[in-house]
Amino acid sequence: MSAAPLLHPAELLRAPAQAVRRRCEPAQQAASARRDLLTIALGGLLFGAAVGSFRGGVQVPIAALKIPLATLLTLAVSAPGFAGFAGAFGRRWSFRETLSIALGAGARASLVLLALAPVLWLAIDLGVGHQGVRWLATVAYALAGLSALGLLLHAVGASRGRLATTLSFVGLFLIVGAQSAWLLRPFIGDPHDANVPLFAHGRREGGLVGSLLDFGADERESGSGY
Amino acid sequence: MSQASLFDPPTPDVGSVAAAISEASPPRPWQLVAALAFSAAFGLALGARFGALSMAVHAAAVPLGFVVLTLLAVPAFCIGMAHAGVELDVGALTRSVAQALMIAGRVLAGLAPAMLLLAVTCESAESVAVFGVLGLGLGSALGLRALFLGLESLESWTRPTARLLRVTFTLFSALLGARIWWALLPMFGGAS
Repeated sequence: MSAAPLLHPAELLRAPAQAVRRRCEPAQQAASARRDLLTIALGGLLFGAAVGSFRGGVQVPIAALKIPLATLLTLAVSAPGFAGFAGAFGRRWSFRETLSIALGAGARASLVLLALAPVLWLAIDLGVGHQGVRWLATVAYALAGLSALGLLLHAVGASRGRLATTLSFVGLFLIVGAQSAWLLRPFIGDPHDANVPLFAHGRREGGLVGSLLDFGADERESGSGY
Repeated sequence: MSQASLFDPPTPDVGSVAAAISEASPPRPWQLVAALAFSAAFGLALGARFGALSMAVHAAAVPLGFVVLTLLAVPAFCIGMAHAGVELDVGALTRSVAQALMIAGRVLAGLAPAMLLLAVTCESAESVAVFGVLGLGLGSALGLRALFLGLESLESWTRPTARLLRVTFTLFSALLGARIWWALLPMFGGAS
């Protein structure tokens, strides 16, 4: 049996510098992007299925579809901003390179989510409560984000503006990612809901910034349970 | 050698930006128009929450803010430079201002899809305004950074008085920019 399918994740995880070089090579960008998209879809599907297993039933495939969708929506919306920041901080990246590197970082994060999916599933199986699952999923995302950051740091390089470039990328990704996830919620579902809705549209929970700054606290209804 | 275009990726090392700007040809009018059009994309996204008319108003107001800011702040900056004992190279200043507008426009255009997502999906208009301020602030700050990098090649730019000028000008342009967009953008309670 050929080991070729394993080379892509192995390179992303063990040789990030080489992975970045490959994504800056125009001839290899299309193939890398295909594999990255596949990895994002697979990692997100399995992690989403684990998240959805808290409620079980139809929530498993729904959450499995929503997680990769949220990741891809975030990357698609953030990529032009990444390109703008890269240019402003003196990185000579074309838009294709920027997109390719962003996909690579997303794929690396998805591999970590793939690895953490059984951990989350086991915790749910052992009876961890709703709040605990939310925390575990958040920690899993934080670890996945750190892994993606590792690849990003290789791409950004050591020249002047490294910290500012990285911080701007991370800031934009966090804001867009949080809003995309907020838009597609619920993933876990509120334990008080008899049936988890497909989307939490119509529920006023204050939004991302509203939750942080406490805008419109009086108008809020019951939560979506994220 | 082909002319540098707005769409070309910038130079590889930020440290060499100053040299690159000083060697560059004078900015073409279309490059400035394109830079302002790029920033208009951010305005379009910012106004998307309130319909087509609001999009058009915000799309006009964001680049207009840059034009007004440039017209009001750059002469003041020149006077400050002269007082601080920094040589006044009009060519370098023009190129640096153009580069600053291009960088700001490109960053804002890049942030436009994210702004659109936030404008359309945020629950409260206050949240959209917060993100709008953040985006405009970030674009302007990176533009200002490009302006200062472009002037690094000037002699006496590293003097303490020049450093003081940079700090003062940064504060002044931040306040002025905030006031201009406050007056121009309906999102922040300005003219509609």
